[in-house]
Amino acid sequence: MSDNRRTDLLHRALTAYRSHDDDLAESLAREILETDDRDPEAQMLLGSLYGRQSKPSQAVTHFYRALERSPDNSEAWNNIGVMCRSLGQMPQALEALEKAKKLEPKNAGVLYNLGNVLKQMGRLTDAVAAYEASLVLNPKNAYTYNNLGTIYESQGDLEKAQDTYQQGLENDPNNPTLRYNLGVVYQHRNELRLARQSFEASLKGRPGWKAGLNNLGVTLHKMGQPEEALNLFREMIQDDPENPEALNNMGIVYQETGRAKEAEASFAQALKVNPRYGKAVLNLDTLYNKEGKGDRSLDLLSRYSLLEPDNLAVRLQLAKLRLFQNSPEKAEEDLLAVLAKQPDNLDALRTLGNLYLKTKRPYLAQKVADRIEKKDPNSVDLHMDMALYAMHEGETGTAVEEMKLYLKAKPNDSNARLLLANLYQKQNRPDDARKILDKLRLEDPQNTAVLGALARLHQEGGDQKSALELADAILQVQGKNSAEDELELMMETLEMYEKSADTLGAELQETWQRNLRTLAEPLIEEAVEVETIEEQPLVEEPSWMQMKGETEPPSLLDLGDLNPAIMVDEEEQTLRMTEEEEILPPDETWDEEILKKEKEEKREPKKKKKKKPEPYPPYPPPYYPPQQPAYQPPPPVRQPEPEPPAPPPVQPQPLPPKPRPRPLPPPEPWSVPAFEALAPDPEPEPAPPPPEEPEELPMQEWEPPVEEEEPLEEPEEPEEEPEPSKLLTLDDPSKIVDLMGYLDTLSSYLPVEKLEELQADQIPLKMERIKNTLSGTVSPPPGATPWPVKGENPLTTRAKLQAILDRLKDKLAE
Amino acid sequence: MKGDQLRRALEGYIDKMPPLPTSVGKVLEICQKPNAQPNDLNKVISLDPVLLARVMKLINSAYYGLTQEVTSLVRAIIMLGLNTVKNLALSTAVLGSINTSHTKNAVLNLDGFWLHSLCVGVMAKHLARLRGVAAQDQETYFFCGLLHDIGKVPLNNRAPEDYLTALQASSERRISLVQAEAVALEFTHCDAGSLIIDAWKLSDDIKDVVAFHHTPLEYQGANKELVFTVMVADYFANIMEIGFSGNRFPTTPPAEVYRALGITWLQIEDLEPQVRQEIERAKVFLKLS
Repeated sequence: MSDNRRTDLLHRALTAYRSHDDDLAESLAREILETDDRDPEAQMLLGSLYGRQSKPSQAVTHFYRALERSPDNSEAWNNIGVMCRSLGQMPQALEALEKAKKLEPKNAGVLYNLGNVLKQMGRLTDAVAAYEASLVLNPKNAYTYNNLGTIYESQGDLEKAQDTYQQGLENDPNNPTLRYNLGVVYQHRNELRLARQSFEASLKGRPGWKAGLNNLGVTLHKMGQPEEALNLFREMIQDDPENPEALNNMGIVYQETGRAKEAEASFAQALKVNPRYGKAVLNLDTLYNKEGKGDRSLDLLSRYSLLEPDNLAVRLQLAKLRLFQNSPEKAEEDLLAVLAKQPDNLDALRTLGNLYLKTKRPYLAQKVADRIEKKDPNSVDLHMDMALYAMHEGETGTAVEEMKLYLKAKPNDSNARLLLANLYQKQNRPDDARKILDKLRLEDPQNTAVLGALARLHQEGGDQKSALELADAILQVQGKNSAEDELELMMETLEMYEKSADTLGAELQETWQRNLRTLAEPLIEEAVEVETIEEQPLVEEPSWMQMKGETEPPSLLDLGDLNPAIMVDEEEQTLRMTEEEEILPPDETWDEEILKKEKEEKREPKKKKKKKPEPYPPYPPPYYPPQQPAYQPPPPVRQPEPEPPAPPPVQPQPLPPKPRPRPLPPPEPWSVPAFEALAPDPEPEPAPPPPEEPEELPMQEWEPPVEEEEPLEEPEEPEEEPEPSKLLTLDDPSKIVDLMGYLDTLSSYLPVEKLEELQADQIPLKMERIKNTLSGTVSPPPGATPWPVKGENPLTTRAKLQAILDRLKDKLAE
Repeated sequence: MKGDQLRRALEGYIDKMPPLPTSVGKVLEICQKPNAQPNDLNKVISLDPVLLARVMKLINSAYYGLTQEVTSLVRAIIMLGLNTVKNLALSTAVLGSINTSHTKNAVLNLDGFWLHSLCVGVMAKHLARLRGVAAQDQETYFFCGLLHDIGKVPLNNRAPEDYLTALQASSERRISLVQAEAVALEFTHCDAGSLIIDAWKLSDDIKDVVAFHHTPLEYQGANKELVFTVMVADYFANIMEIGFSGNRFPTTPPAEVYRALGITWLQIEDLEPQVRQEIERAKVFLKLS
């Protein structure tokens, strides 16, 4: 073939390549190769052609052939690097790009591609260096900024990420990927307005981009515009009814705006479209749990984990659920499967420890605890679980040891210290107990639980005077609370009375069980977060071709001159485009971070307003401890957290939960961060169905610490009701009456079984006793008069209370 | 869906599956004649270029390990035997038809499923060899092993949710999948497989294997050794967890089965390394379809 002929063919081939006439380009290139099968230009062209067609292994072959005659062709090395990377052959990719860099150290494209490979290999520092070097040579490449920014973002350096994206946008103001990633950063930093703008700008550049739309929807929702978000998701679903992400996100918005039914339908539809969609499974699971549909939850999770046995998050959640639903064998199987793949999963280990406790194999639990300690000496929650188990089993000595281990890592956990003091007291070591309690009191003089425990200690030690002083102190503290809190405390006081009849053991058991339950919830919480994350489903690997079509810079054709050097550059560009797509993956990292952040965000509000879902019906509600006649020291309880004053309940309403300030659930005194994560719902709870009511009440039971004051008041007869003198501080006694009446009425809305439960637990009786206490009468023996649940006339109660108050006033006057 | 309703749904599904190429029917027909000649088979296969290409590719694959490339089908038939080539043609045709319809909602992972199937085919063939079955008949064992669970394909594709219920029942109650299918669906993959075999008018040997590989002692026909062998090979694949076809709790083959075959579990275990090696080579079957 003459040179002219070859040049002509090559030229035509390049033109065909440029105009995407791949067949022609290929046949022309092959014609050249028929004469000379190592013709470097023709080989390069074929390699680029295959690269563009997403046939990387064929492309690599041709690039290598091109190197046979010109081994210093840096473009070929570069392209081999890019292709190997797309084949997942990182070491080869790195080697090839290093060679290209050596041949052409000042090529920004090579450095950029090198950065991409290093980044994918996890060598982030090196990748940053490569990108920065590339930017020095070519400060105009928006993708370099983008990929560099995503590294910063994945490292949590949002400020730097933001700067980097903005620099990139200065060079390419309409780049949708940069806009999108900038939006993600804003979202991350909770600058929602800016996030919205960014996503909208990104969508202008790439209309219909699912990731952008999803994130826009999520941002709108976060901005408190759920309807707009819903509209957006609806449009997305209209365009593509099989868009599981949009369905899932729509479900989240529904869920968080209290439309559980629609939420359930959305999640279910998402799962119908894609049964392997883990996030929707976890979200639906959360929903079921909230609605108390533990069975459906179990069914959902067990089906899903058959489909996706490797989704360990779901498997772990399933294990917890099974543990609570009393199928420890299957739970153990699931846990062991999780641990086989993630031996360091502390959550799974702790659950396994609890499983061993539940199946009465404390020695195995001990082994698990040792293993946890090896992994993370600060992870001591299992020791708390074991301490409670030991207490429940009556092994006070073991319990003390475990508690000490726990406190070694968490010396400031006041609940654990209170428990330890309690144990010491049980062991007849009042001095040790007192040491702890005194210290606790110093740290927080307002902690009525501590004060109560101290008072009891004094009382039992015969120091009635100190006991009385402490009682006074407790009442002082209470007196500072608002009227509603006072009512709360009153309720607690009454319950504390009754509680004195409870054995410590019974309570511990409940506590432990509740802990178990709580343990099950963290995942739920995560699920909620996951959903939110959802929103940012990154566009999955856009194909090479797509990349080209979209933002792509010059294609090979552009390089199109016969000049081979140019070709190389061009290829680079083309290849680069592929790289560009990479950008999206970083978002995933971002997702995780967002989750974390969301978790944190959720935590705080949670504590205040969130009600804990009580998802597992099989467990007896721990709130109603079986009553026992013997007086027992009430367990130390956590002090109720100050709650925002709730509107005073004026009229009986079917939906009671809200009026009650919610104390932190004390049952898990060891409630660790993990637990806190449990309280998942940041959203306003939908009106809870009546059955929830009883659960609400129980919560208060856990606040009894306050009640400890009572015995103090009348030291001589610890069993007697406390003097209500402090009640005088109530600014409006009628509120008490209202409360009583309210509670009374509320109970009439309870479903039959809950009502039975209520009565079985003698709650009505307790309430009656309080009333009696208030009215100065002697409380009837337990069980004597069941509280007329519906019958009592509020007027009577009011009169009684009024009488008490009068009497107290008189006493005080005296 | 369960019971008859499920059966009707599956029948409808199977009707819509791409039928086996007519050439395959002719291959079967020819091979049933006692005096069939290599050239007869050659003529039929040569008329179907797709089938011919696949057969030639298989013959020259590592699976058969021929030392030099065979370019003539007649020569291949002479070298490998009529029966081998027939089974080979059949395998590739069946796999080609059955694997065309993928459902993204499918419950069983198809890679795992076919790996399991290959393992059963290869093990069945090795057991046949171990027991001294004639070389030209060994390929029947492979073919039957490969397709023994074919009934799971329509269940998996047409009724994934119901099939998941069966898998769930198996997992929850720790019973074999076929038992769980009977409980949850009142219809087993053996029943579903028989529907396909009937629809495609395949021969009795494969039909018996598909229908009885979980209930060998109920089988009274002429292909006892084949049925028993496939059952044992199936058990091996499940126990060794080579591939996965949804049966986490396989039923142990009854002692009668081992006795009738004159082999022991130890002998079977000894074959494992060879079987694993050959599975790699046999993967060429899956790549063809």
